[in-house]
Formats: sequence, C-alpha cells, structure tokens
Amino acid sequence: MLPFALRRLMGMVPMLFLAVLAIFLLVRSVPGDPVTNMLGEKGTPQERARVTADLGLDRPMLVQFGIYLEGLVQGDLGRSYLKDESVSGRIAEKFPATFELAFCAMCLAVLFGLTAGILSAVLRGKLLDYLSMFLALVGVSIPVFWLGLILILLLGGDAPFPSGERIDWAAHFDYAPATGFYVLDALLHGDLAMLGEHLRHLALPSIALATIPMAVISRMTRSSLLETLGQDFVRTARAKGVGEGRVVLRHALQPALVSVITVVGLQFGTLLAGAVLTETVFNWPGLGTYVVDSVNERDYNAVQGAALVIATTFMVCNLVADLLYGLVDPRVKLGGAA
Amino acid sequence: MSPFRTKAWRRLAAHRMALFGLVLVAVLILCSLAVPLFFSASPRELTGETAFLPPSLAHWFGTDDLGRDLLLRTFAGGRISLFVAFVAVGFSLVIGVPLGLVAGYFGGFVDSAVMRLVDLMLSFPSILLAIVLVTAFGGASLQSLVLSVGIVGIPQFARQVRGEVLALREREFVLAARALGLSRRRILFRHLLPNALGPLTVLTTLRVGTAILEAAGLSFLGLGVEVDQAEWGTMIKAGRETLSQSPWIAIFPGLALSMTVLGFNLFGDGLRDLLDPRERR
Repeated sequence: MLPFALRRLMGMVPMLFLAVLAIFLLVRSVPGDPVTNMLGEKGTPQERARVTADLGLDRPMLVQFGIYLEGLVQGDLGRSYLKDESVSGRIAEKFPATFELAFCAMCLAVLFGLTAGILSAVLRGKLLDYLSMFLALVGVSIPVFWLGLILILLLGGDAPFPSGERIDWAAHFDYAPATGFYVLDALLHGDLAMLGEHLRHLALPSIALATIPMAVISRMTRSSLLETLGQDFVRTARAKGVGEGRVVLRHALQPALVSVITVVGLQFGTLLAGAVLTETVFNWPGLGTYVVDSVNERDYNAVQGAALVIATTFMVCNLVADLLYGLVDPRVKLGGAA
Repeated sequence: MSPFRTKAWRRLAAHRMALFGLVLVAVLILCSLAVPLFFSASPRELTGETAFLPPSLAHWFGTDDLGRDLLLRTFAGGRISLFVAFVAVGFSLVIGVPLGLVAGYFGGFVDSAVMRLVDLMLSFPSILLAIVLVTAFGGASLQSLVLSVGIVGIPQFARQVRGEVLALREREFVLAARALGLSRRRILFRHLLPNALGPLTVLTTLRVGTAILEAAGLSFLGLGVEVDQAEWGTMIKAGRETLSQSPWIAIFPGLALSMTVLGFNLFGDGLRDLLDPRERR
C-alpha cells in the first residue's frame, strides 16, 4: 500500500509541473500589463522601469518561470502586485475558511445523501424512490449561487441564520485562533458559545454548497446498493434468516460503500473549487472570493498562486479518493498492474 | 424512418422522465425565441412606469431597478444563455471528438500526448479553469465566455470518444473497412464515429445543461457578458443587490435557469437509460 501511495504521489509531480507551467503561461498571456495597472496611466518612464525591474518582468520569460519555480519549492508564491503582502501568507489565511466550509458541506451531503440513497434502493420503484431521485436531479440542476440567494431570502437575516460572512474572530476574542479552523479553535478552547455562533454562520453556505454532492452521493449509493442487493451472498443471508435491516445495512451496504467513498473523495475536491460561487454569494472570506477579487483587481500573481493551491488540493483529493478505494475494497489489489 | 428509429421514439415516449425533460427544454427554448417577438418593447426598453414593481397582471414577473419588464428580460436572457451554451458545446464537440477519435484509433504517442493534455485539463476544477481562461482571454465578454466554457468541455468529449473507439477499434467492421483500403478519415468519421454516437448524444445533452450553469456562474461573478445585457447569470447578480426589497428580480431568471438545466438533465438521463444496453429492460 505505502509504496503504491508513494508512487502515485511521485506520479503527481510531472502533472503539477505542467499545471504550474499552464497557469504561468495563461496568466502571462493576459492582455494589458500589470505595471500600468499598478501605476495607472500617469507613471513616468523611470517609475515604470523601476516597477518592471522590481517585479522581474524585464527578464526573459524562462528566467521569470525559473524564479517562480524556485520560490514555489520554498512555499513562496510571490508577492501581490497590488497590496504589500505575500500571496502565500494570504492564502494560508484564506484556506481554512474554505476547507471548513467544504468539510461542513460534505458532512451534510454524506449524511443526507447516504440516507436518501439507502431508502431509495430499499424502496425501489416506490414513490419515495422517485421523489428522492427527482430531487437529486433538481439538486444538480439548480445553480448554487441562486440557491444561496433563495436560502438567504427564506432563512437569512439575523435569525435564525445570519446570511453568511464568517464570524469576525478578532471582534469577539482577544486570543488569536490557533489553527484558523474556527470549529477546531472553538473546541480547543472549550468555547461552546463560540462554536454555536460559528456553526450558525456556517449553516446556510454549507447547505447551498452541499446540494450537488448530496445529489451525486444519493444516486451513487442507490445504484451500487441495488447492485449488491441483487447478488448471491445477499440472497444467502436472507435465506439464513438474517433480518432485512441487517441484510441491507451490513451485508449489502458495506461493499456498496466502496464506490460511494470514491465519489465522496472526488466530490470533496470539486467542493473546494465549487466554493468560489458559494463564497461570493455569502461573502465568505475564503480562497474562492480571493481568486475572484484578484481577477477583478488584475492582481495576477495572486490569481496564479490561488489557482495553483486550489488545483493542487483538487489533485490531492482525487489521489486520496483513489487510494481509499484500494484501502476499503480488499478485492482491489494495489501495486500490481493498475 | 428505419424501424430502429421508430422503436427508439416509442421507448422515449414511454420514458416519462425523459419526455418531461424534452418538453421542458422545448417549451423554454420556444418561449425564449417567441416571447420577445410578441412584445413590442425590447428587453432593454423601459416601461415608463415605476421601477421595482412586484409581479402583477401587467408585469407577470415584475419589473427591475430600471423599470424593465422581467418576463421579457428573462426570456431574452434565455436566448443569450442558450446561445452561449450551444455554441460552447459545439466548440467542445468540434475539438474534443476528433481528439478522442485520433487518440483512440492511433494509440501510442498520439494517444498519450492527447490523454496527458486531457488529464491536465481535468486536474483543474472546471469553474476555476473557466475563470483563469476568461482572464487570459482578456476578461468579461461574450467571446471569452463562449470560448472558456467551450474549452472546459473538451476533455470530457475527448475522453468519452477515445473510450468508445478503443472498444470498437478491433471489431470486424473496422477490420473490414481497413481491408477495403478505406482512408483513415473515412474509417474514423464514417465507421467509428456513428457507432459512438449514442453515448456521445447523452454526454452532449448533459453537457449543455452544465455549460448553461457554468456560463451563468461566470456571469454571476462578473466574468461573463456585459452587465447591461440580459443574461440569466448577470440578472441574478443584479437582483442580488436588492434581494430583500425586490426578490423577484433574482428569483425568476434563476427559476428559468434551473428549469432549463433540469430539462436537459432529465432528458440526458432518460436518453442514457434508453441507449445503454446494460440498463435495457
């Protein structure tokens, strides 16, 4: 298992390199130059030359790429073109907000998606089955940002749920959050009031973000459970007189879960990126809003850095999903010919 | 009509979900084409009455911040959203299908080069890739929107077609075609492609729905068409500003958008049931 994981991890390196190159080239092909953007139209030639040299934009493209790679290896994504701050620092600050949101959404999605999928499979062809599968299709068809607005309209306002915006930690507490994951921070401090408040803020964005994975998980659960329910070992279990609940939940569900787990892994990567829209609707200060703001401000170094972090996380999630598949399903032999 | 076709149509008619999806899509397309024609006012024109009117008999969907009729604007928005989605998916097809055909048929170096590219594109979440592409194409405009959504769709088509070709390549009819000395292009497009059309149709239908969503999402982020143009994403973005006072401005375009995407998804799903031999009952 371990050598296989390592090999897969190594296999990610060339892909990552290509991704860095692709983003680098794309961002550099953007029309208009960052120097004009920084100085405005009024910059004198001397000023322009100085800024251009500062940013290293006067060097050949290949050298620029080399310098970027060198920084990247040391975890340095360069400096923002517009604000006096390092992109890595900003991303480190934003990442927990996005991760927390995606994680909460995934918990909701798994909880409701699994339940709906199991019920649909057991009650195949019944009204509930049709209803939940129709709802699943509705779930993937509704634009997340619109759903977010509807949620704000229906449940938002101050009570019961604030319409987004992450809790302002500094305004409530004099100690710094240790991890940046506020759920974790609140738990570490045993601060239940804070936890509750924070979860209240998380509620609406998580629900909006959860719809798509919920739909995907419920469909996957239903189809793979239906498949295992039709197999011989399930019939054997029934013939032995095992209760129906146990047949479904122990005998049939366990093998069915293998594909569900893979889907969860893949969807988690998608969630981190899908958060772009949800975060914008709810003014959630995560990576997604950072990308969009940077694009609008033409802060290309920031776009480049954030895009890279999101893409890397996405790849890691896909890798983990792949590895989990092998871990959970003893029939899948890893390490041999894939 | 060949007997297969009639049978397929009859099966489609019996598949209620698929039929419902098809009707939904047809109705929304018809409305988008027809509704703006039946009104003398253009969707940009002001009604001359007060802005922010709630839905009423005179204005079924209400009016927006400038007093424009939202029913008109919603269906005019449908024209742009559908146009963007169709052209973008067309673009993905034109690039993705030949890539997949060539990769699957020739294998070897061509195959690995194409598949590396596909993997690279798929290693970016689609919305992120679309955002970066729009930026690289010079920011918000109709062209960059269509191009970005189109490019994002390419890898799925290439991958699907390649898979189909891999499965078909060694079949007798291809061998026969090769033995007859037919040109490669003829084998690819006249013999392999038609046999891969079923799954390709399903993917195309589903992809149109996703393309509509992606385009609207980009517009919502301010990276799509100009704010002034009626497009579902920009309309929802505009409605967001006055959500609590006049929710209808955001609600109706979103409703139209969701119904359209739902229609394509229902229809695509139904088609898959009908065309997939494994699912045939």
